[in-house]
Amino acid sequence: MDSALRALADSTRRHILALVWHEERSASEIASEFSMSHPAVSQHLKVLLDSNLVSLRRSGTRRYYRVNQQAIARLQTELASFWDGGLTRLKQAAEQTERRPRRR
Amino acid sequence: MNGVLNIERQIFIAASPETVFRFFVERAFMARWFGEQHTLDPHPGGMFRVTVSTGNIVRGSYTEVTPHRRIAFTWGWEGRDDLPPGRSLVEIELVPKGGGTLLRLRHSGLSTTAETPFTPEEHRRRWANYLTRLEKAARIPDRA
Repeated sequence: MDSALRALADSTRRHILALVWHEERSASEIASEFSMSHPAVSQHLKVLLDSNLVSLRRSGTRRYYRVNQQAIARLQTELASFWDGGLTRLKQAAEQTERRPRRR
Repeated sequence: MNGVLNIERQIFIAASPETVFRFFVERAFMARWFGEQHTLDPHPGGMFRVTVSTGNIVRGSYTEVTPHRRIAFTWGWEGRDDLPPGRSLVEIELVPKGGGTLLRLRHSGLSTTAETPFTPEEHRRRWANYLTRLEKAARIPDRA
């Protein structure tokens, strides 16, 4: 999870992710979207691959990438756990507030 | 599926809706579960602003305040374009249940179909940024 969030902290990598969101694209196709060198783009692709945010398919000498939707779903789980943490603290505080004996 | 950000949670709290309600509209109460500094003006159109940690400020405005039943406010991060204020909505429903309260929370936004100026690609970029910041916020240790 941490590596996924770190990978997403870079705007180029987020841009790459958007490019391969709906369909897979070849490495050269992706690189052509950027003004930086192809090796630099490859480095970003490697980070995305290592963090499991994209998956790779090889065909001959070509490498195709696409987004890993399961990894994205896990990030959404992260948002859910953010709220769960807060709501748990709220529950404890609210129950403490009514600590005085109620009907019992 | 019309929203990238679309989370629903619920939790049972052994306290009355009247008590739970205060945790969303009163500074001293909110400080016990969320954020460090608060500006809360709980009526429709009133400000909702919470400093989560230095430089991380959630800002929005209340859109609905029905005492002890429903609270809704918009939610975004101040001074950032990843999820600016007003870009998402948090809705809280308090349902009396068994002498306590069933709290339902829904956090929605970043719709890919609604009337927003963002392309789907931009939504995803913003969504990714947003999660990064939430993740940081969630790491803040509990305060006594």
